[in-house]
Amino acid sequence: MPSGDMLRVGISGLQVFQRTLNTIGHNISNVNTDGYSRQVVDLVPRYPTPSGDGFIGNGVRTSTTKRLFDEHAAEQVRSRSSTTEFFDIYHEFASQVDNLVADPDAGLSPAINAFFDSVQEVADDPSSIPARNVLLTDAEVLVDRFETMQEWFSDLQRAVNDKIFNEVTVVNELASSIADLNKDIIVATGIGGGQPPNDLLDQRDHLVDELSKHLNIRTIEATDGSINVYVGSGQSIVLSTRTMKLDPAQNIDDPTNMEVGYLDPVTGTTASISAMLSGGELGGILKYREEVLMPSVNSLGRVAIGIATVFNTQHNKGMDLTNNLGGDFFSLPYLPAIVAGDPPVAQLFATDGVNNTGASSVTVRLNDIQALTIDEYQLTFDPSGDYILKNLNTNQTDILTIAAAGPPIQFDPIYGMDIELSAVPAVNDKFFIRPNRQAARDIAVAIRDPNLIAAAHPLRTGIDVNNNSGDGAISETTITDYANADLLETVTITFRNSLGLPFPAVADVYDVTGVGIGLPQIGVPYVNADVDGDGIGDGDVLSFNGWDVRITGIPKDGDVFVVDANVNGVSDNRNALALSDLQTTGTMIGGNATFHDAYSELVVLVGNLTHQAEIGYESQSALLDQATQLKDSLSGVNLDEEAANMLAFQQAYAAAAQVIAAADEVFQTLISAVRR
Amino acid sequence: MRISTSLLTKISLDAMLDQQVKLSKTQLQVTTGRQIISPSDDPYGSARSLDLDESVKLNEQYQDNAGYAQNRLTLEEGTLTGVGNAVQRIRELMIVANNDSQNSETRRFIREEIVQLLDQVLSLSNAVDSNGEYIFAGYQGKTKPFAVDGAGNYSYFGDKGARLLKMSSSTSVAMGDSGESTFLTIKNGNGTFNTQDLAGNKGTAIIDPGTVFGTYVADNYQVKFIPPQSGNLKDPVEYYVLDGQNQIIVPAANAGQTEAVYRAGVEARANVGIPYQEGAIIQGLDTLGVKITISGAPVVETTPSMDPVPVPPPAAIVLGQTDGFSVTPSKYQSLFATVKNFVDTLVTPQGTEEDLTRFHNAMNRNIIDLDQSMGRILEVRSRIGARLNTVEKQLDINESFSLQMKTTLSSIQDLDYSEAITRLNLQLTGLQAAQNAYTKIQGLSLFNYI
Repeated sequence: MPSGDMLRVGISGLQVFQRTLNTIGHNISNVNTDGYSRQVVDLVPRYPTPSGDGFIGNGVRTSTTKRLFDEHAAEQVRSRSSTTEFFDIYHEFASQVDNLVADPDAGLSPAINAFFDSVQEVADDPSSIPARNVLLTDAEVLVDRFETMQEWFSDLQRAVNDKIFNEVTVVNELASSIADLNKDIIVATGIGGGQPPNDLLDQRDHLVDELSKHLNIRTIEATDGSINVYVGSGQSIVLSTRTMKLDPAQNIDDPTNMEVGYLDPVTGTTASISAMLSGGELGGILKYREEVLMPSVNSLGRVAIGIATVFNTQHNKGMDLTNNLGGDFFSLPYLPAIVAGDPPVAQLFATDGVNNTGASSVTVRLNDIQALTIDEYQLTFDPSGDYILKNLNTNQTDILTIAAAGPPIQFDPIYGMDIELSAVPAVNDKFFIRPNRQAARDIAVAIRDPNLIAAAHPLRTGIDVNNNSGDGAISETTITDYANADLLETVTITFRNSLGLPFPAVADVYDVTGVGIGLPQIGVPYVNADVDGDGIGDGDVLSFNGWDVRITGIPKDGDVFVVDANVNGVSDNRNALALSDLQTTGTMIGGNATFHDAYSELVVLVGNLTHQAEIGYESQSALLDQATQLKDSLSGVNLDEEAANMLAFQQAYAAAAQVIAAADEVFQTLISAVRR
Repeated sequence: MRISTSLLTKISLDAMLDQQVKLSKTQLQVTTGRQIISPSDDPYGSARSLDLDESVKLNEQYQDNAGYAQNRLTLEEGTLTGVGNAVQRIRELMIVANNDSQNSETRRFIREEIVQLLDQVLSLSNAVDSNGEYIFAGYQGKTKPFAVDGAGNYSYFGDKGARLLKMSSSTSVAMGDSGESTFLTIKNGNGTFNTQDLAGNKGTAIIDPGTVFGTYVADNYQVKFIPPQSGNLKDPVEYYVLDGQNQIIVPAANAGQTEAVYRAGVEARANVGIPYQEGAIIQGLDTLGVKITISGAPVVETTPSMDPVPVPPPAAIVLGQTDGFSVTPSKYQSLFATVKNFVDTLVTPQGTEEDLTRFHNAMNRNIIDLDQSMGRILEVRSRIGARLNTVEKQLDINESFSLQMKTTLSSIQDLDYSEAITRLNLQLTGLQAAQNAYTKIQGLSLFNYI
């Protein structure tokens, strides 16, 4: 055996161990590098030299330097970190809403309570101007609270928009970095003769990890070592070395919200893919907007519409200190009623589709606050000729029934709304109805003068105390039509005997005189029927000028009853009591919920969703930890392990050096023998 | 399983951060004293506590309302006590004035005092509360309810409104009574019917206010006197009773006849009346629910005069003045009208027997009318008392309701401090342990030994 072989064997060991120690050093240096996978050098014996007495070993060589990486474990980490980030951002944003809505100072509840307390104060002392001023102030506070909360929700909407913009920018940057690395990897693999470019792969995997924190992605590896990245329902954002950018853009039909657009490379059209994106921070923020933020805005708006319209309706039925019927207490955008002569109704927020080709425009009126939902709708004129109303929250569709072909085209009321189109739209034209979206901003206090608070009932009834001898009594009036033009006219009811007989002949008829439609009426029979069956007559109901009144008992000839305007009824609190009753009356959501309940619904909704997100975050981050642990158990660098390996290879290196020394010694021995 | 060095660091770091998050939450709970920091901590509980909070606030408002009602009712009660005292004094003076020991001069003094008292009642009935609201004006709280004109007639400018205040979601209380129901809608007479001497009576007959006996049949009745059938005015005079259609009720033999026909029969000395007996119940009316008695001597004048009886008695006579009384259904008469009637009565002529009789009849009417007013004021006062009781009870109920609500609210949203402090200590220990573990583990490295 030539001693040169021995030297080569020793040198092979030295070279290989040096390279291994180098790799160990590389591992140690990268112990804190994100996404780094530990590398090991694969050692194989060199090809042996064949000889007559068997194969003679030729030392060692490295076959490859490989990274310890499990694609499946990496996939798990990605999907879980995507979900964790989803819940994290969802929870972060939702808890802001959560904290506000039930805040004992800043929430809506205390403002509603204070407002109705002041209504009761006015009911206690209706002639007191200070009490009335307090009510106006508390109404302002309530309206401010609506506005503040709406403003705050708008801020959150803007924050969401910013977040979407940033997220999309980050996603685009990551996608283009991945495409760049794809290129580097293809080149490096070529140069390396098929050896894996470990650190480039680690870098790319790390970028993919990062990307999956922003949204759910799928990757497919190509044969040349590059990967393609897909989002949503299969939209590619990286194809080998090319990137398709996502485009953050305003929703043209809802300018306050930003959507994620995608330019389809095949069709060449840009469309919003927001609804298809899931997972990651981007998916989380979009979902939060859909599930928490917009429902909160709409729920708040619905309470505003409810309070304004319900309170106004009752307030219109009262009489103020200037002896006029109550005007509107709150203002919202109002429209004339469809039926001429009916009182105006609240206008609900709706817009025409920006891309509509027809010239029709939409108007929506409030039909019934109890039926109003907090959802948003899209009305489409279908090619089939149907008008299809789609609930944008539940995707449920209804075909509208036309009530009047117009123009304007009017539809039967649906979900508490009266929808009207000014003309027949072009096919596929769209109209967006977001009934509650603006209300919390639009609501305002309509009156400034405390005298205009209508605390009194508009009418009073009375008997002629100096004249009446019968025991007939007159009830208070119930207003059935406060828009009646003659409501406040004086009406006198005089009883007499139908045959003109004087007392004590029974007063069996009455004459109704005064101003009003159908007046005077002479000789109306007095029917004192026993309705409830208790043996006592229940009197007769008289209806004139938009009021009902009941006369009971047995009036006598010449007895006089009067219904007239409650002029100077400053101490009358009947309407104020009716107004204060609204606090505890179910006027919302099918007639089962008070204003407060309708708001509580929002609190519970937001609370539940936030709670769910919190739990989701906790459980997902535990799962993420497990997956990371699993991945790291293979790919992670352990310094103790590296130290042990280092010692082992140091020793091996020393031993290989000894082999060279031995070869030298053998050689020297041979030389000195020959020199003799 | 292998564990990478960075994961080891991460795990111990995460453990520390976790402990810190929990600790800060507990710290927030302890510093705020609230169990629920945000609704997501307990969505149902926080909605419930919003509801309870609303109930508590509403209840406080109900308490305020009840307090307000209490003040007003107490004020009204005090005012009506004043009115009651004044009316009581007026009644005493009426009794005194009605006594025959008085003369027209002393009665004039009495009148002076009554006018004073009337002024007092007027000013009490125009009483205002601390907000300047007239308490007896009904809904017309800024309109002075009672005023007197130059002729001494009193007018009411309020209405019949009585403000209700809510003391709970289901209980309301009227915080006052209108002037109309307190002073105005008072039935005169005995409350059912009113007895009165006919204008022109010349005798000394005095009618009592009467009582309701059985079922009262409302009508304008009259009792009129005629000479006795014997022709001798030393005998008791007789009477007949008319209904509202001027038809005879008694004597039964002539029932249904018109008065003119009947009187013609008397003048022809053919008809017999019911013998009048002082203090006896007037017949014919008792079956119609009216029980009245008449005392004194009614005057019955005839031509020729029947006193003494001419001999032989004339076959026919002509009736002159015949005294009589009317019984009419009660009408509303205000306290003021009653007192004014009294004042007016005091200055009527009292010189002759005839005048005095008229005076006494009027005074009797005034007294019974005033009794009705006094009864009304007592009635209103007892109603106020009942209301005050209700308010008192409701205040108690609300108080205990409020306490209950607050207890429930507290159990939902308030922190259990002992539990929280224990938890805080535990978490502190946990954090310290995590920190300890971290430093210990970080110290471990094989490199330390190479």
